[in-house]
Amino acid sequence: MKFDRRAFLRLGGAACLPLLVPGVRTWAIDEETAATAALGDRVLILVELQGGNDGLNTVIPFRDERYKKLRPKIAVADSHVMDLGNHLGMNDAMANLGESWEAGDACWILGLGYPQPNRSHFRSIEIWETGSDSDENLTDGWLGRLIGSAAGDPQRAADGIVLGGGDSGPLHGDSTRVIHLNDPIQFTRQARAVPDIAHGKDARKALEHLLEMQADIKRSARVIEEKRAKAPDLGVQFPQSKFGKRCEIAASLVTSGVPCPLIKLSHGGFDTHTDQLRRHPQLLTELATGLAALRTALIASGDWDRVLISTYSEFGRRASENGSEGTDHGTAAPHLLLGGRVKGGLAGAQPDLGTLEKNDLVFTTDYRQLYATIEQQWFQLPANPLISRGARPLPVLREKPL
Amino acid sequence: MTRIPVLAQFDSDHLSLKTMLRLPALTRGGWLLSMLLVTTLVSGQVEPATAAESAVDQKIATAIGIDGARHLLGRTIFGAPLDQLQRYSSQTREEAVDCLLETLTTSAVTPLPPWASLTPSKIQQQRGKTAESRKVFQKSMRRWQGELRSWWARELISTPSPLTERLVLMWHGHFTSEMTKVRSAPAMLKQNQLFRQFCSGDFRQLLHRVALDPAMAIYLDTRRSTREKPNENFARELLELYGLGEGNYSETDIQEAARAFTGYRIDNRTGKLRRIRRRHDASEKTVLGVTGSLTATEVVDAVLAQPACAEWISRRFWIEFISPTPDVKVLKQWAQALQQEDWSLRALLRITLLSEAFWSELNHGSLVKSPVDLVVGTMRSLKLEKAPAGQALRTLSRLGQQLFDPPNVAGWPGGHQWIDATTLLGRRQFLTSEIHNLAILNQMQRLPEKDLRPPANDPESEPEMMNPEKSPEKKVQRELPRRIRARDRRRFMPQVLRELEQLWQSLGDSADARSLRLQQWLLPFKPVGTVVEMGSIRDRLGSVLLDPTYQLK
Repeated sequence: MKFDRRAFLRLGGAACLPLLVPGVRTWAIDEETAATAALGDRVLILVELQGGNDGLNTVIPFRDERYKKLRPKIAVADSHVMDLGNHLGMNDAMANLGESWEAGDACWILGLGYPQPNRSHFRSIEIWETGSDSDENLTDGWLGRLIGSAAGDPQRAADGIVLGGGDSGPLHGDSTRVIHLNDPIQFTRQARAVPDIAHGKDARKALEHLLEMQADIKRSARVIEEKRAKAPDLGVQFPQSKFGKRCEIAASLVTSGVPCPLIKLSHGGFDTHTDQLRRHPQLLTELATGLAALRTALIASGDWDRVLISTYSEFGRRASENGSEGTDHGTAAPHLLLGGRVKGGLAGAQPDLGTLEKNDLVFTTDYRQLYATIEQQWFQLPANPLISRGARPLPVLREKPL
Repeated sequence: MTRIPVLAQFDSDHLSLKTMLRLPALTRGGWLLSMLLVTTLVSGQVEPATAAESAVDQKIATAIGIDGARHLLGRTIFGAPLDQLQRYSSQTREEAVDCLLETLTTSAVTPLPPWASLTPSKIQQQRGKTAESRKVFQKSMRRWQGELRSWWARELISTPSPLTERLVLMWHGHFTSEMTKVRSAPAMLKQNQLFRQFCSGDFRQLLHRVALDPAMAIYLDTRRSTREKPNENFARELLELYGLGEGNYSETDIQEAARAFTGYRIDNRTGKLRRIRRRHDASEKTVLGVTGSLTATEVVDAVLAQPACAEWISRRFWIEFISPTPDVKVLKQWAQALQQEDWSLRALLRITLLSEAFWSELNHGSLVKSPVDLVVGTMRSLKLEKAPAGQALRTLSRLGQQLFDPPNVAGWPGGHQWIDATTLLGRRQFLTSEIHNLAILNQMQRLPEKDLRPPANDPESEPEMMNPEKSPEKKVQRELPRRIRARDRRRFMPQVLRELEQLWQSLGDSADARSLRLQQWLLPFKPVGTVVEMGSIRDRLGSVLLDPTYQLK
């Protein structure tokens, strides 16, 4: 089958796509535009682990002698490892995700990274968020490019919603509408008081940005308010941590059917240069309890099959511990995929502790393979060389839900 | 005085105010003289005029006017009351800038929190060694943190030298440390005082002191770095964020520099950083082309010797004061001037504020106000300096600028990023309701203590916004009125309105003139929304403050 699918969509062929592509679930086709249909009703929830999550203490090569040699003080004890098979185990601080692992809707993609790794927080997160090569500077986020011509659909509450602080990162784009919010109720109440002011291109860039933001707020608030009025109560208890609260808001947005394909949450504090054995498990526990509650809610509401959750982080950490019972900035790390269509298990290959480069792990899977998976398999868009850079998708999603 | 020989020294192609303003080495007197010559030449005047007459002409010809004064003061001292603005408006750029620079100082006027006088060993003593004593200590440390934030907020709101505070805030965002990680309020206070001491002084000294600053050593882990396992955190940021900028060093430079920063520990008796010989890596290293058994001091010198360093600092000034898009050519000139001026930050500030780019119409309103600009600036402009700092602090934190806690080591990203859906709504909330509370609290604080009843849970009073996540400040703020009782509102609001009315009358002779003056005072452009042109000053002022352009400077 060879045709330009995007052009096809523009011609209004979206209506017959579900018939052509096996396994594509009921896209709401009726009154929606082709642009919306291009992403379907699927949602990607990105979770940024700010500061660089230590991959080796998250998915642990606990049977490897070299692991304990590299980390005499901060290696996770065997008693705190949940066996995942393949000589790897998950830090039991994430025990709340055990159910998801058992159910087969959690997948760890191992050894994600890129060539010539950069160890600066800011540069490396920029690389991850723009999808660039190490020595290349791109301005737009990779999802900003992915959503590209489909951006700004008036039916959506926004192209992306960022919950609880942090910048738009991967969602950033010239035409993408991204809103940031902490509390949807307060948000809609305050937005009502904002006046409508006509706006457009303006040489005064700061002013242009302000007015656009005001208009976005008005529009998003209208949609969110309308949907949430009919939202079901799922009776799920979310943890009271900052991250837990963000997960709760994400759940409420998805389950009430707020139309928005991209949601970003952040979870901060992973820059564990010191005292890692105490701090890192706390962070993982907050992550796991939040995500587990989110999963429960989405399963209860019947939305689990249209949601994909993916973590990312600027880098992993140095293979060997430093002198302050912590780890310095490193390179490759595993990342977690969760969702009703995720093929549970391990994907990719664990970096070899025997072949370190400058004391760092060597990546085994280009991070843009993850992006290609999201682009081509999750959102079912044609491979765009500007987004996945020719990387091939990973076999981590099922065509049909369980 | 013969004109021709002097003029002959100038390349006529470059004979413009622009080049003049960029020549930092000229003394003020020489500068004025040249200005006279230039203007006479440009205006084609042939008749010689007396110096005094020309000086007056000059002053009138280039008085910055009310727009110029708002632009200058908005960007340097968080905005100003109208009378101050008017004083500046009649001055030339140079006079106005020099007048501002004269206000620079090196210390704060707000009395320090009581614990500031404790010696480091006394603090260690308080901390104690038992788990019990440490728990108690941690609790008081949280209280100290709140007191420190209030102290700085108070200084920002009522200092006679807001330009100094603007620079301290800039350096706090440049040489970041977060109190959440550092924990020690005394160390953060010391760092803040360091910024104040050197904010307009010698940049070399500032960088050297920062490299050995205890709060920094805690924040970026220098105090834990050992010869066996160097911690790269500080070395990396020194090159990437503090001194040079990306692209001006290699990964090897970072690793080598990290070795130079090993073995520094905080001395519990003096509270200062000390190099412990057996922990320090004294072997040979090469950082930025300098080889030797380098220590921290020598690495900082190597950074300062890089041409990129002065440019990086010039860039910081451009972004802080002019626009988000620096002109690289100009930065290079500034960098050169900075070095010629013995790294005087005051000189760099003068160059920045007298640059053509600073005054260019294109750059008016091109910067988004930071929360401090908005909150402190509004309070100072409307003379609400007596209102409690705790209220301002809560707003700042909600708008994304918690003092002493930038989001990460890169400081506050600023610019467009100040404005997202949440913070834009929060800003409106501040300008609609919190500002009224501040005005009432400002009135209340003018009364002697006994006239004020302790804050009570008055069911009639309006609940105020608070951030449940920021518990450390609660304690301090409990001493301040958290709620305004309806009775107090009724009692004090008339006085607030009377003063507003006086302000309105002082704005001009006719309603139209006043209305225009109000906008000129507060907005960088004509308002884009609907501004109330009728009714009370309260409504008019409110609608000007709520115009989106008020968010810009």
